[in-house]
Amino acid sequence: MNLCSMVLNARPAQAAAVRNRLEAIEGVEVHAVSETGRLVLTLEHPDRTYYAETMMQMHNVAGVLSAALIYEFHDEQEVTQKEVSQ
Amino acid sequence: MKLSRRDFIKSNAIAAAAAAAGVTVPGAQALAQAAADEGIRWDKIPCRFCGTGCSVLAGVKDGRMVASQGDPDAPVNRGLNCIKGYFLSKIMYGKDRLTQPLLRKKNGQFDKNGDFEPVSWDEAFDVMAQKWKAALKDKGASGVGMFGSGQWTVWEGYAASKFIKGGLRSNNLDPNARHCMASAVVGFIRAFGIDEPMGCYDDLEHADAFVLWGANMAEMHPILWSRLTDTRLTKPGCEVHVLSTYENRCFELADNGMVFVPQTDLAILNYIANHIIQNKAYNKDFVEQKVNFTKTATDIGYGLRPDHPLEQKAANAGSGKLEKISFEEYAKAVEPYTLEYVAELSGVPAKQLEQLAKVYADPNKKVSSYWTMGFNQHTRGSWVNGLLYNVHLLVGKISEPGNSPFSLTGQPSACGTAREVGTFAHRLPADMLVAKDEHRAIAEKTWKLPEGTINPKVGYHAVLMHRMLKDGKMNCYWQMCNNNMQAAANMNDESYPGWRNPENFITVSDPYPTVSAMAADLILPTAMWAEKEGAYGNAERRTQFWRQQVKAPGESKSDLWQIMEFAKRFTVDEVWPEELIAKMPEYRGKTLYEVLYENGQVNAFPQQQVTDEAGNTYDNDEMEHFGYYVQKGLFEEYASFGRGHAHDLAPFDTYHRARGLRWPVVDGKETLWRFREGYDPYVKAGEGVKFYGKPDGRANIIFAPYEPPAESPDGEFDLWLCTGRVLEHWHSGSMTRRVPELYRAVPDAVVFMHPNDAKKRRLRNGSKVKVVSRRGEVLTRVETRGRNLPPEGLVFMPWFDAGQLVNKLTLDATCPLSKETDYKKCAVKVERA
Repeated sequence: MNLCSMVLNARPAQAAAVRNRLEAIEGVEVHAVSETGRLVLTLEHPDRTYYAETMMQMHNVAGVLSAALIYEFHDEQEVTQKEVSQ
Repeated sequence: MKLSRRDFIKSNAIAAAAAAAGVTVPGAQALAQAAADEGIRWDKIPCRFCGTGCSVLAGVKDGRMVASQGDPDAPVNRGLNCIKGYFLSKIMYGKDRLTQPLLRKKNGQFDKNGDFEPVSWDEAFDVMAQKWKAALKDKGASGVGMFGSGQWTVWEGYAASKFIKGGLRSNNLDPNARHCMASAVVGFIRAFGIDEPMGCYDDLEHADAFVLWGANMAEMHPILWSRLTDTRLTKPGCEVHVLSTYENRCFELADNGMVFVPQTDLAILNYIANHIIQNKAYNKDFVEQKVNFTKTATDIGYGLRPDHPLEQKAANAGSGKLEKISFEEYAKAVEPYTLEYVAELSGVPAKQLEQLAKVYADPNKKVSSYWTMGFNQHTRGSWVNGLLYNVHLLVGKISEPGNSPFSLTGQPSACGTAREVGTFAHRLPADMLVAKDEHRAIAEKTWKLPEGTINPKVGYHAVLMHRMLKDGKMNCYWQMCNNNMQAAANMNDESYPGWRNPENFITVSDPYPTVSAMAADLILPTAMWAEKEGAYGNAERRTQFWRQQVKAPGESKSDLWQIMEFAKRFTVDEVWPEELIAKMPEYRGKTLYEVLYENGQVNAFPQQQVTDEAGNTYDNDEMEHFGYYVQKGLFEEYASFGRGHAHDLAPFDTYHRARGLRWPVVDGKETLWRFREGYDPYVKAGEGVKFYGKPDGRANIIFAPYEPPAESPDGEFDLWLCTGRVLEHWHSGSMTRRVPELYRAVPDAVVFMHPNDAKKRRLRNGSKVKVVSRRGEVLTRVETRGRNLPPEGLVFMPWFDAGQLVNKLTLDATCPLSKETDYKKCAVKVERA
């Protein structure tokens, strides 16, 4: 399992367009877009190479002014089915 | 509620990102990340890379660092991490990590032309000590030297300074920070009499306008860039001005992006000063009460070898002489820098220059200026730093929230170690100088050494060291925590011949077989970053500590261990003259280790268990080995230099709890803006602004003219070459190129070129080419579309790639005052390969 979250900055006027571009990328989900152009997204993909390359290219997506990584999880084991109590 | 583990991890990831971004995501809960990753011990540690000083949380499981994440409690990065910083946990686990000392040998003996063979630490130090003693006997203290680092921990730099300056009585100690910060230091000392910025990162939120002078923050300081971007996008009226010799990623945010002809930043700054004076926009009271006007000696050469024609021709080679002038004389001096003249010279349209000047002149706009290597790696680097201070001082926009000329640093402890500890060839701790009698006396007293121990002669600086190795005047050289064979300019003519000179013995301490290590005679395997307890000082005067997180592999040892153990190989009788020993006969027969480190101060704190607030325990391999809390003893002795002298540091243990503190730390309180009443405890009530680094409390405005660079394009070598870095790799790439993700993203260097320049040479994007200068050539590929867009006539090439050594091309011309190399300007041609 490979999963990370990121915070991106875009010009507010372009934020919607940037969101569309990001959501067209396999494995990307945009969870929030602030009025000031900040985007919160996750990237998840089973293929480690695709995942790493997509993460590295995020700041090259048109309209993205800066990209920062926040959290990453990487585990060789299949963990998706395991349940935890909360 | 039942959640799958995947859901749990994902909601954690979203919550952390939402918190860092300051937005709400419905349904995402803030969960302690530790809960998701059982068995991981989390602890804070400053990032290993640039001078920003982000704090990360390092996750350790079963003795191995398995994860890292931005530290949400860190005031610098507030939970954010850049891409490089993100892969920090992987830098220690490159497949080719060195684990034992390697010595060049033939037939069982050291041989400069032999192959590397594994040896014990004892054999390594035996051979090394024998060579060092021979050089000391033959050449005296100037026969040996050490090249250290702005990536050393504070105590490593301090231990090295004691060993070289206090023990061996040589001042041949210089850090790689010479290549990156020296011009900034000279700028500070000349203008303010005390080193390091007056402002701090809080200015990133307080300013109304930002000006970047030769700093590609988007790639080199991404987290600060992200803070700046936030301010630009959220504060009404905020504007960003970017100056560079080529278009880079910062231009995407710029309201006013300016590409200027190399070296003409000198003229642009004088134009701004002229604009301010002509429009009577200067702050009259501030200028009358807080500033002295001076001019600097001109025609000062280019720091080349003295027999170089350019040095022969210079009227005042190397002179930094300042002469007092009046305000009127200063105004007269900048008068020729008119808008028309400077627009023509710099290639920047007049309208844009004027827009920039107006930002500084506007009394209602708070301006923060940032610079890195564009200013510092400059044959007039000391001047250009000063010219920017001139502008801020003229309008009094300094030392208060949002008004800040701010020198960014490239290394994690260029400030904390290289500058504050004083590991430069001319310096001692807390801004003191080896050339000053009273400063040497203070250091000798603190170090409990006899009067006259410290050599008053300034040692060889970085560039001079390579020249002295080549000329056989310095025979032993120990490089630690950097990669100078790849980093130093003019590798073919100076660095390589110097290192391979048969008379010389070169030692490199490194975790990896770098270009430097492979050019050495002895390689010492080194514990890195999280494998030792450490302290760094970032660009905003913030001192940050970390605990040892993991063990170093094999026989690797920290630089601190190496320096202190090597000091055991010398007795006082071997390296001090009889008359010096006679002043403290109790030292007779003792080793330098005993005199310098078992002096009742460094060994004052007994061995203890290192724990954090949660009760987790940590190793400290140096404490274990030497039998006392080495780091604490070195830190407290070092801190005694600055306390009460405007360099106050907090007690050792405080830093293990805090997310760093900005010095001076007085009565437990850090200082955000220096020199201003109400912010700086060293400025008394009623004084307002006081530049107390200078005896009269006034800063220097220093006039300096435009002078041309050492080498410019001509008919044959028809392009400017500017070298630098990329986001994905840090400096020479010795760590980042070993992280698979970073390596894959940018595996090789390329030469960035304007499409028209490519077309003229019948090249296309991706063409294989030869870049040639008067000193060497490098094979690479052309990039006409990438992130950097040079103007016609200039090419940019990064230096991280050990397979494309761009410093075969560069010229070892320096700022004659700071001795810092200009890596941004030399002349090359590009041909199809």
